[in-house]
Amino acid sequence: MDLQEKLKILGDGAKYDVSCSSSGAKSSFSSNKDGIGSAHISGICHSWTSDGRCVSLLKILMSNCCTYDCAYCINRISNDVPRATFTPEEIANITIEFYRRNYIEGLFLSSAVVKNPDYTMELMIKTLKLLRFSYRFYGYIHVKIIPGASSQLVHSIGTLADRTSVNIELPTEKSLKMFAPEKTKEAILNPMGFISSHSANSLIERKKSSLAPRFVPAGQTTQMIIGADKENDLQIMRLSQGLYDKYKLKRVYFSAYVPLGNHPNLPAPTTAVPLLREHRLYQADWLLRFYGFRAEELLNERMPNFSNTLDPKCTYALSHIDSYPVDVNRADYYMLLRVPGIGVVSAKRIVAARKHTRLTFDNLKKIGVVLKRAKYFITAADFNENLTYLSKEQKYLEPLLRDKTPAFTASANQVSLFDFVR
Amino acid sequence: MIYIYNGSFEGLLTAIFDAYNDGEALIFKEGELLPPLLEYKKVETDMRKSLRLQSGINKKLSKIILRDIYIIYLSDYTDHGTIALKYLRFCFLKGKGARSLHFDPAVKNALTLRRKVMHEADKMLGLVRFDKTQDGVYISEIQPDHNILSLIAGHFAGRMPTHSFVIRDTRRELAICSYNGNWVLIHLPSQVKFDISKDEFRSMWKEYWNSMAIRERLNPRQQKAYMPKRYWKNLTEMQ
Ligand code: SF4
Repeated sequence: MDLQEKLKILGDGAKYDVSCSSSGAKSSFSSNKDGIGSAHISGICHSWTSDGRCVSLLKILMSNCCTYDCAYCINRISNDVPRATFTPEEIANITIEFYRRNYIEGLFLSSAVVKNPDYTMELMIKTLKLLRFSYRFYGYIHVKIIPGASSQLVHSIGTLADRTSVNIELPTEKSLKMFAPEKTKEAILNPMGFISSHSANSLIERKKSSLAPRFVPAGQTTQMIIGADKENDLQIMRLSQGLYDKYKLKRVYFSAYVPLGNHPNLPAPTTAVPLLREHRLYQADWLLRFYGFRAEELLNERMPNFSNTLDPKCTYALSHIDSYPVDVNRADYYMLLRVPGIGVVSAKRIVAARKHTRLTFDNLKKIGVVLKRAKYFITAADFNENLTYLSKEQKYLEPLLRDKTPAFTASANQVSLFDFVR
Repeated sequence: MIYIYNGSFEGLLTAIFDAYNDGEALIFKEGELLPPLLEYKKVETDMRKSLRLQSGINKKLSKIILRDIYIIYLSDYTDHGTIALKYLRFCFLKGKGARSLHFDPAVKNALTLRRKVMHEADKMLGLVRFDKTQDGVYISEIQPDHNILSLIAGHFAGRMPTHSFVIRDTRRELAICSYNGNWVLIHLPSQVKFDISKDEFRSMWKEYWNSMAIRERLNPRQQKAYMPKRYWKNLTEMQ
């Protein structure tokens, strides 16, 4: 089989992985004069596929010859697909050649389970060693750790990669048992915990001495499939928050289930991909990470799912109507962030600009506040006739806040990535 | 009065210097279409005036504001000179903090223009594509809206410190040439051609790129929003 053919098969098998960004990337091998590459830029996108996703890394599988049988996965052993395995040398070579042509910013290496987890991890380690030591490649490398790999191998990977991830796969233990019987909760969480504590230690050591080795300097992420089982948004949000708190993850990625599986409990092959739901979860995730929200503030047992028509922040505002109006000339930064229509950038601008003047609605508009939404929730230096809605019943305000953009056309993680980089 | 400068950064600074006290002043770059019925004069580029203004900005305002002016200068908009002039006037009037007064039109126009240029430069960091010639030189052609070569050169020089490469702006006939991590900006006429026909990784990349799209989620509108069509002709995967 020639290289191009392999690349096609093993790229195809990796594409459902959503974590694309190389943001926060700092190469474990600091900048250089003798090699190639620098991994310091926040999430450069190199291209966009026709589904609108950013391509920034060469995302491939070491192999798709899997011995496991996860029901939702295209590479499961019981599925009839073309199979291939790369040699470490092949991957290293393609990575370097693609990198030189500025097609990519680095490598995202994942794999099916060939023979067993340790055997697969050893192949991956060999590839990374070639890249780092033979090719002197200083660019960004993200490795997906195989659940169940021994901690010695997890450690080796951690010294070579910039970022690692272990996929949570499914949001509940029940669905994991049902759809990925060979994977256990422990096999997933143990490496995650190992990476988290070692990388925290390395940060402490590096404060003492800049010569101390780095360990997964760009941190770890995870990914879960949503919509394969019947879990609700509250469960997903709680899990994400727990992962951020406990393992200090950089990102939790959600991947709307694409019906490729054949398990009787999986959605039928004709089911639509739940893109709107994925979009809402990313919006909410954004609120957790940058707006200081907690999962329980956004959802609760009585209302365990996000709305189809409102974004999570508007939903929050409507159910906490007593906290408004917010005085833009006085409120602290975090309160500003709780106003629909005020984002991180405009909140910062408000705090900077109000030192010089008392802000009016006109000022706010120029600052970039989305008044269409914010006007119902704020007071400024001038009169606000829209405030009357706050005292009325919700049913009057709700239609005014509806999300008219077809949300399912935008994958929120990328829209917002750019807002944030700016 | 319209002040016309020769297209150099020093020329723009000289024009700002000369026009500073003329409340009606507009600044244009040489060769651009001028609004009718207005008087104009050509500004003689003067290094002393330019340096005086630069050090004035550095001392009384900040390096960031000087950088703003430089980036605005690189933009393709015909009113960039006038926007730079009004921005500087406002900054000198209000002092260092002027930059955070986003709602003032002088600041807003300047920073919006700056953002547009930087946005394109950031985007180009990803969209530049190199092809390898048989001599082992990496060649890229781009046609950016704004004159962003000098903004992206450092990034690529740091990324490929041991390679020789050329990035040429075919519209402006400018190019950056980098060798061992050091780069220069040169004039490169369009007659100069490079032979890249033997680069076999082009087809490998195209194939890989095609296989990346998820059919169930096709979204060409979003693709075009992120990667505008006018850039496509220089993208290997779109050829
Ligand atoms: S382990 Fe499961 S999810 Fe991973 S490639 Fe194999 S079948 Fe797919």
